[in-house]
Amino acid sequence: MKDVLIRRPLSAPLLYGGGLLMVLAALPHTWNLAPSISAAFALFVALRFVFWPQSNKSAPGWLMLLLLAISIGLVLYQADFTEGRQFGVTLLVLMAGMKLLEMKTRRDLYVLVFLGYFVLVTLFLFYQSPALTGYVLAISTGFTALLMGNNLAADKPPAGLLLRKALMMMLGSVPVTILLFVLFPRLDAPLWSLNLGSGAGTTGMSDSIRMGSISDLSQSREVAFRVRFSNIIPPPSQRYWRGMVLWHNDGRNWTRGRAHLPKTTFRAAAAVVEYEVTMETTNQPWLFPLDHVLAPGSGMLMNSDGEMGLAQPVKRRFTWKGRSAPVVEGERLSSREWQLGLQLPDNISRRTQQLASALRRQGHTDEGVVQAALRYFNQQPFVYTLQPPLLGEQPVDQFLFETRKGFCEHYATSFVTLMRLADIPARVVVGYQGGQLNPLGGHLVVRQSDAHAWAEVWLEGKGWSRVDPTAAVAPERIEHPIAAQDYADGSPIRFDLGQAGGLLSDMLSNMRWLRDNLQLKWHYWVVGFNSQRQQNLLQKLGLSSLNGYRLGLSAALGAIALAGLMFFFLSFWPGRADHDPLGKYYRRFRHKLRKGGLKVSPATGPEDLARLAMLAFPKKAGDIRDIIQLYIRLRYGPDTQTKAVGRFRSLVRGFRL
Amino acid sequence: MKTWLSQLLRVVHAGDRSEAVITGRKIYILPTRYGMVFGVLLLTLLIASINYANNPAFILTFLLTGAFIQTIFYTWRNLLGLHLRWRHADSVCAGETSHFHFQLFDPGGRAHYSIQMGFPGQESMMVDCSDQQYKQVALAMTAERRGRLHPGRLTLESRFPLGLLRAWCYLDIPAEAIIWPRPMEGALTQTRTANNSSLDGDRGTGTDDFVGYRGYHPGDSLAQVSWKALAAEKGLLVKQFGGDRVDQLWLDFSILEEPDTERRLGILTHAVLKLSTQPVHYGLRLGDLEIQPDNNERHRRDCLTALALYGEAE
Repeated sequence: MKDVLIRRPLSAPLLYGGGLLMVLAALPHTWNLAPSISAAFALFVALRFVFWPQSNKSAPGWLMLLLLAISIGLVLYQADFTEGRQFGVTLLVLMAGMKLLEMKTRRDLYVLVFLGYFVLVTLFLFYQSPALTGYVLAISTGFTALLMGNNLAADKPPAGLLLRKALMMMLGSVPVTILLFVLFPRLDAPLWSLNLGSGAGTTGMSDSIRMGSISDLSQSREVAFRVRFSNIIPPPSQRYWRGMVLWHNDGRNWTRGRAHLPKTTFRAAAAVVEYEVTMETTNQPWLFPLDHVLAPGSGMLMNSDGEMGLAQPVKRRFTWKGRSAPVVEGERLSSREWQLGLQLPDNISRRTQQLASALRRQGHTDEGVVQAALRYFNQQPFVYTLQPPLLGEQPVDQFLFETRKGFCEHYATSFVTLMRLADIPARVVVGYQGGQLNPLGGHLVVRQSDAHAWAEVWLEGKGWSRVDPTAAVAPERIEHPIAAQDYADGSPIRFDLGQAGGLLSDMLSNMRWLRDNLQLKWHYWVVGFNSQRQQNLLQKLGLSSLNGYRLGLSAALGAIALAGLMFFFLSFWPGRADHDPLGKYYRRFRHKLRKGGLKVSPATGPEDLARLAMLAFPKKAGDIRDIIQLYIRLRYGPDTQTKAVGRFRSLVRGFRL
Repeated sequence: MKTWLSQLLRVVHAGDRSEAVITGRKIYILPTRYGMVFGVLLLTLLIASINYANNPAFILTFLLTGAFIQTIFYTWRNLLGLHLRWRHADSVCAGETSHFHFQLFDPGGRAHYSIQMGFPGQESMMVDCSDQQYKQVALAMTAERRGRLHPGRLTLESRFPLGLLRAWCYLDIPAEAIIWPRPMEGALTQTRTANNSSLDGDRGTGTDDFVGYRGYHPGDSLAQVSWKALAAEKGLLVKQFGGDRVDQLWLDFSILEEPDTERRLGILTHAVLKLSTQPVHYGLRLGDLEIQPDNNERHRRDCLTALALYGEAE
């Protein structure tokens, strides 16, 4: 048979429900999309509900064509084709807006709901927090309820009932979701490489810096590693976690100079700190010891730069022990290192050279030059920001004299360039700086947002010395973690100064740690659940034999088994127990009359009951008549309406003798 | 071949009291167009989740997959346990629309939503069957010819809750409507009007003299209902006439001049419909059948049924 509902015009609740849900679904995208795209979507929605508020009339064809042309133009104008997800979401949101504008039958609502599911899933490309996941699940439940309403003949669907049914359905999906989530095979590499916008990569470590290209260093709260100290906990200003040493600069990029890691050791010149680091997966071989590490552990490699790593990339959580001292001695500068430490690119501008000469003149010794450069950074209006403006062909020049807005990498690389121009061997070091002590666990948590870059200069008699130009601009960065907040373009960073407070702020900070804990767990079990953790979990469950295709097979079989269970459960489930609400309230009414002193036999019919009751309680005659009349209408009348039963219930409830 | 195939088809057969119960194994279920689109959507979401290694996206994909699996059962269960009772069909003349009356209910008290019912090639109807309710359904069907109208195999289907799947089942229900011949104007030649006197005295059933009122009984001719009394809110009364003399008319198939059988039947039908509103007694001679003159609702139906079924094997 033909579906009789599909051609029906939309009813107002369906249209407005669909519109509301779609707006809610697209709302978080506002922060990802170009303002003009968001504005276009808002315009489409406004057009629909201002000019065509009737559910069964929609925008005329010529307008749709016009808007389609405008949309395509907008997409082509705005789109950054190198950024796959942005492009896709832009298209999707515009399509959803246009669908909203042109929908008028129930068929259109199917399309809208499917688009809605799509918009919801694309949110996860940008956000993966537990809160957003909850939001997405709530909206998708709404969409499911809407789809149910679309399949009811009534024009005014019972929203409460539908939402309850949709929620039941979503909850019913939980077992199969957990099963599939655990068992579904995870790939370590993507099926095909889509540009995920790696230009906007998270704050993490790479073994090269492209100055000015990482213009959108986002705030990744992901944990990089955790450190448990055995004897002394170094103060925040000493918590430099040394990663790679970058020697070579081609004008834009800073890269490492050496390819291999021969084994070296250093001699401590101060108290030795012992610690244990638990690293998260990085898929890179680098380790980040406390500056400056003394010797590599077993299975690890270290070169004379102090870079430490493994032979293979870190593919799983990995714990190693380290020993470090704040100062080491006995370093020597080879002629090759002298050469590398003074290497300069071609695109050095005149004013940069002049600045370096001026610094050279100000400081008499090399140390004096370093201090002069730091003073320069400190006194000129430099701003520390995570959202610096993009830099062009001469990044150092542009940064030093024009934009003056940047984060650690900008300061470190331009500082090193200045030092080299002043004939002081210098190099860039990338790693992490800081870390927060977890008061519950007592360990230090170093996050990706703690990623940092600083400089090392060769000072005669002192060896390679750490200089952090960022500290000259923003000393708070070294002492405190960056407060997790949203950063507007070019706005200065605010720091979590951790001021001591009263009971309330203590509670708040405890809540923050609890939330942090939850986020860690969420991250560990949901967002970061990869093939490695899958295998670990399966091992714990005693299912370690499941791998490869067997995993996929067991996921499918498990889902089928669950479906079978549900089938069994549903076919024997009797449905709602309360079959006769009308009878229940009628019995309650009789009970009330009996308690009031009316003597009636159980066989008395409703009409006789009304007569007797009205005689017995003449003051309540009107109420009694109303109740009985409604009962007769509902019980013996042509059709029962759930609403009317609700009225009967309230009448009986309100009845007092 | 065709009969062998049709044996494979699962059909619900009506049991006692013309009541059909839909059981699980009689229900067919397949995805609709939108179900297939939804399947493609799920596949796309899955591939996207795999490619971006995005675990929250996996969660949404798997939740929607679970919802889809559940929809299979919910759609199936929306038909399961429905009882359909065949009541009766309206008798009408050929060319008019007859209604087949059914009762839809679930003694288990489960609510069923958006049940679509229809006979092959006919407009279908959509009904909800809420809990504890006998839902009356009347399916319309245009009657083309006189005789027994068999509407064919009834189909019940449902797409509730999500419209992604269509569950349906076939019901064989002994539904039939008696369709009277299409009434036609025509000369009733040689219809003898006889004022036959009764030999047994006045029994008060004539059409001569008004003698008084009595209460209405089902089957009384509408021609004798006292509309005036009804209008005066005295209830439904029937005028009684005394005397035993009444015009008696015989409608005789064999003496009509019209050569065509169907036309003859049409003329007789027209006559019955007309005479039943007049104070006359009419009888019908139709082949071997002879219905004695009378005038009431039951008599009228008997005559029309006889005309409808003329020439048909019982």
